[in-house]
Amino acid sequence: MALLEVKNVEKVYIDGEVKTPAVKDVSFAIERGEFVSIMGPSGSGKSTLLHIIGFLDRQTNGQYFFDGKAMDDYSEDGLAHIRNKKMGFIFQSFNLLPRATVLENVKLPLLYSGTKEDLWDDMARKAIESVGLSHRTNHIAAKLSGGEKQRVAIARALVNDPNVIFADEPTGNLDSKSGEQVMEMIKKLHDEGHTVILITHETYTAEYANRIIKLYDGLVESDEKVIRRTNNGNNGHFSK
Amino acid sequence: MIFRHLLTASFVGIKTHKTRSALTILGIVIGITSIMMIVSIGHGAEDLILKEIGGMGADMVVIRPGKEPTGPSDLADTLFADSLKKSDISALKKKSNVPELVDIAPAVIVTGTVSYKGETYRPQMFGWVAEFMGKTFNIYPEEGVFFSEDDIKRRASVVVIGHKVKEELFGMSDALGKNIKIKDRNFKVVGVFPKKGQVAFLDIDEVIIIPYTTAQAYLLGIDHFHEVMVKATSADVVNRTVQDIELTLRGTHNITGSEKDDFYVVTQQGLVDQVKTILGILTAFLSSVVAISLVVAGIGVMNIMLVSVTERTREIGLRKALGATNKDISTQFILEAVILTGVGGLIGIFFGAVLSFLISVILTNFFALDWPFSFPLFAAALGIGVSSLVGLIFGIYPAKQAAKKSPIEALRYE
Repeated sequence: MALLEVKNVEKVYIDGEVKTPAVKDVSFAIERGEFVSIMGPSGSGKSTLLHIIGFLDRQTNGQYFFDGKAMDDYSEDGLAHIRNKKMGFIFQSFNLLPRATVLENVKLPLLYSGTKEDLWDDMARKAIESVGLSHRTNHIAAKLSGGEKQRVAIARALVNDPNVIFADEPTGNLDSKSGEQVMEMIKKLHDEGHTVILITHETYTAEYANRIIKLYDGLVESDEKVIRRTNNGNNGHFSK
Repeated sequence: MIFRHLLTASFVGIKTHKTRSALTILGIVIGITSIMMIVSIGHGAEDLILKEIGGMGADMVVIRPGKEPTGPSDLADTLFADSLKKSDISALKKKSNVPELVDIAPAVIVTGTVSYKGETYRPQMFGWVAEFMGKTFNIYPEEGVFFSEDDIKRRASVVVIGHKVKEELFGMSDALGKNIKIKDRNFKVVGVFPKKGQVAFLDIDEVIIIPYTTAQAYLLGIDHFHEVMVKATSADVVNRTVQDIELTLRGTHNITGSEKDDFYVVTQQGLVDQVKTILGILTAFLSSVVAISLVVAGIGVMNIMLVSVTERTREIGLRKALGATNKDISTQFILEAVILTGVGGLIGIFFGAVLSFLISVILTNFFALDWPFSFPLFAAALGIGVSSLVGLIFGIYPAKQAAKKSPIEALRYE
């Protein structure tokens, strides 16, 4: 059974009389352990699609199954619970609490998880260690560099050991070197067994994945496996 | 627990905007300070007045002529009523009528000035049984003696004067044995009270006590009394004594029902109840004014919370994306409002206590009132409770607005 399955999903934004379709009849399935990039120019509907499969928004038509259960069968609190336990989010603009420390930021999902509080510290420190930021544990988030911020966000996405990690343009606000570091880290997450779904408009970022779904104008344009050219095929892509 | 972490998040939210938070809670601080002062000063006033009434003794009963006053205009009737006469005193003295009566003292009020060798003064003058003062208030002359039962019988022109009266008329020189003039009549000073100040609504330092018979005959030309004081054997029998007095007086006055009474009886308990009622009404009135100010302050808090919710749209979106439920979000913002107002309440309690203390010090030292400082624990609890309640009530709407935000709209917000 696929981890997530999108069936004829449509999303139409209604503003008064004006109906704007953002996603039109999209279908695909993603298996556990896959690393999928969803690509497309701006306006292609990729962010809208991510919001739906990330349980942040509901589709207008069609069906979406996560872990075998239809999204329509979940209550709002049910969606929040799945987002917390089974999904991890990495955003383009990091979205850290700027005045909180790295540790506090990484603990944030645990707050809503029902996990015993005794365990929080260890879990958060382990996640911080895995992104190589142990030396920044008690630093204030706002004072970190962009790359460090995104690594904190990755640690936060990891802390509840989710089934799937959604990364929405994770390198969009980073310089090429930090961007590469972040992508290597996301790739490592996949290597360790996490399902990763990456949204990007850059081909070289998309090619970290094993599969690329290209969207155009709200429709799936192509859905292909990535063929690796060499062992280190991605090196150099960030030097534009 | 999650609650503790939300609490921390709320504190961070408040600390981020120190000036704004401070200004927001200013209204709450002022409101709670006012409540604290009303309660504390009201309590002090009550203590003070009750202590004064207490000085009169719980075993005391006062009979006044006329109908029981229900308003200020009725007081005049009391002053002119002439229903209490000597025959009433005789009837009340009979053991068969009022068995628990141990002492009785009729009184008349004399207005006018007193003079000695060109010095004049306007004291509070009473025609009374001087010794009764000793028994009731435990005040005895420091110089000389009280006039006697015999002085009363023969309408002697003698007086016992208060400390201030003596100073005004005689200065440093001796007053005993000297003649002072009241309404062109000479009175010999036989006693001087020690400096006592205010005791039970009466400034002992400013009084002149004259035998009531003398005052009736030579100063007022009346044969009735303005007031009759009765001492019962103990406080426990006061109620029974009141009934006995009423029955006796109805008998001597040929009154058939209580609604036709031409006298009324006041007890300490009655006075205490009256004072408590008046202070209660005053406190309630002032509190309602403060309540309005707290509502205004609450609206201010709500306004700032709404601004805060809008500003933190991204944070709300993030928390929701990470798994916060609507309830988690609204709890966080309600907590923030409650903490905000609660802190305001704590500051208000502090200021209220300090100001009440200062006022009690000022009243004690500059107005010679024995004003007790009291800051009842329930007042502090009330302050915390009221301020938190304001936060809760006015935090609900902004919190609901926060919880209503959809995670993507919130994340998109710049």
